[in-house]
Amino acid sequence: MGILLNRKSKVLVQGLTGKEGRFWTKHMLRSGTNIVAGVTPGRRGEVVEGVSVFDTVQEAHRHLEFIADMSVVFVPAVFAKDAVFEAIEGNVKKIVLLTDGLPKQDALEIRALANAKGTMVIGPNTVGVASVGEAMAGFFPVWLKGVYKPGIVGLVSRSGSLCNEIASQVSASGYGLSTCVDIGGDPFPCTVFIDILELFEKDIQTEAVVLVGELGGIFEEEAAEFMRKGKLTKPVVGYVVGKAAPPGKRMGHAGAIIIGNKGLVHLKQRALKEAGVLLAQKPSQIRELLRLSLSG
Amino acid sequence: MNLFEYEAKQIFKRYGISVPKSILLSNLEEVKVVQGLDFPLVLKAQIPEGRREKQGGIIFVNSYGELENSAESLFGSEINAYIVNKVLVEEKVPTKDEFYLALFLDPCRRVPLLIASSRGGVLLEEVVGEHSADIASEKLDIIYGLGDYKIRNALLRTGISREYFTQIGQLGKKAYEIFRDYDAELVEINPLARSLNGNLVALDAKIVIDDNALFRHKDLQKIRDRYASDLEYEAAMHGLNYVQLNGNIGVLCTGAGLTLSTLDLIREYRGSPANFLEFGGATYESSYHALKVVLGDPRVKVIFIRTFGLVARADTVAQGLAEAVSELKPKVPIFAVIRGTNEDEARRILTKEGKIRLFESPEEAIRDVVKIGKE
Repeated sequence: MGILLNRKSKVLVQGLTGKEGRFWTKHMLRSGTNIVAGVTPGRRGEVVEGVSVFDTVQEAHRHLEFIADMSVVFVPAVFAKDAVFEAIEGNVKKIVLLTDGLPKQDALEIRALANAKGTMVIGPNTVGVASVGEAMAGFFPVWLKGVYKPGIVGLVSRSGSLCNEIASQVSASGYGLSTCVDIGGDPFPCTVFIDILELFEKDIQTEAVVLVGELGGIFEEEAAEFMRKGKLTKPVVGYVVGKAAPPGKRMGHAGAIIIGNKGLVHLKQRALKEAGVLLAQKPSQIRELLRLSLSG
Repeated sequence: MNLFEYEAKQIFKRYGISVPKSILLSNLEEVKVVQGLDFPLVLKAQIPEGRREKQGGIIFVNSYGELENSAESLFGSEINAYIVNKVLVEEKVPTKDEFYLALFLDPCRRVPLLIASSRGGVLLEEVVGEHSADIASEKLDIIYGLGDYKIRNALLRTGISREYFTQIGQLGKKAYEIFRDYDAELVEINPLARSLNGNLVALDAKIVIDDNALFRHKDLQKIRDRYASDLEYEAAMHGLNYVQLNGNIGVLCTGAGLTLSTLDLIREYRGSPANFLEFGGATYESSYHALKVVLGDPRVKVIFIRTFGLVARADTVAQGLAEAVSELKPKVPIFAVIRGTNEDEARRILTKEGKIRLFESPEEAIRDVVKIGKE
């Protein structure tokens, strides 16, 4: 049973009629996802891959006579905030906001509304969620040979593009994957590492976690503190990228003072190490570190 | 996007924040028709970012002779890798007090901040730490905005005299309006000065606009002057995330995380990347332009390409790469690890094209790439 999504979850697809919406709806359906309806304003009555399209979330729910459990948002940045607000107001409790290029202040507004309404939004700029072997919401190519094998390792990442690479390593280790979650690459994600780690701790299928971090922000440090407080008792293998990265954009005096040295990779690695995380310096080490943590 | 000081000041003026009286020179000839300003004047090189003072980008003058000479020395000069093509000529404003005020999207606490300090006009980060008594940052809620009590909270902690609170508060609210209307990541006034007649004047202005929001700010164009090089400009025009580094190994990958991982791996094998470049999405145009940009860098001796992205389809990426290669006929060796959706078709396309050498494992490829980089 996936931590956020399973075969029974009733999933809405917003932006289903777009090029990406269509392509990935086909693959989500093939992966086992129960897509109950699509929403694209102005396209009511169309049917895509056997899924009926409605003009609004309200109309979809009225027709279905139930509220969807999750919405996956394939909507470009210019319309994304509106689409997410619509889903939140429509009482959809989980939203996967795939949109890349969402204005940061829109992300903050979405987060504020989601928090107020108790909605979990994954993203923005995420490739989504994959309950491996059960269902998938987003862009995970779960059909790729050898990359996504079902199993017992939870993967939570800040990088979508690394998910395939890291998933292959976990699959190659023999332990396989329970759920993969990409919290997204933007600086103001609605859901952070600790939110997902909390779910992995409670998930009986997940016996270990691989955490993929990146330069910038303090997400990994927060995860480390969460672990030090004993809130995640399962073994964690970590991989943090960006040691050789170019320096970030200078943000005036404010940036220099407020950010200072925070966000650097070696600080994240140190915090994670002190919390008991086994650190990989490159993806190919993940297999061995998983064996070390799980064969104990 | 970093706005030029003159652009930021134009916006400030529109919103009712006072700025010094000024004339913008767009070329050297225009200095001859400067009039209506009282000496002493200050000439300020207009560049997107960087410390101008330490590089002669800020010059005070007391006569037309000095004005012309200084303008001549500034125009066309290079400051912080940018060529100076515009100079702002301002009246020097005598001041009683100088403060610091900013609105900033903090990526650590992940909230907007109001930042205030009684120490204005200095290199703030060199005189205060985040928790110094002279500086206060107040967390803001994007829904509630910049409430009066938030301003009081911040100003009280800075030690700024209470007599200025109302004025600074009013100005702060205008700055916050700009921050929201313009999708800013930073609106910074350093110094915010109190002139002799008691008015608040923004002597400097810095506004950084969220690049993701540019689609709704069409009046802000990606002009060549905003970039330090032709290549960076070309990359920006094609929506590519490109940063030049110091080495000679050209890199392009699908997705930022994959690119960072690749740079780390190259360094691990003692190689030196020439750049960071991530491209992606479902259109092949991006891989075509990405390869073109990297090939445009004369320092590059060898190129390494990786795909394993999720949205980016390997075959469409391969198509773009094949087109770029057949059109540009590059001399440098190009290695690639091609994985992802439709990877078999992608490899077929590239094998047919012939120039790009395909590898199964990134570490295997990087060993060879680094060797060539060292030759």
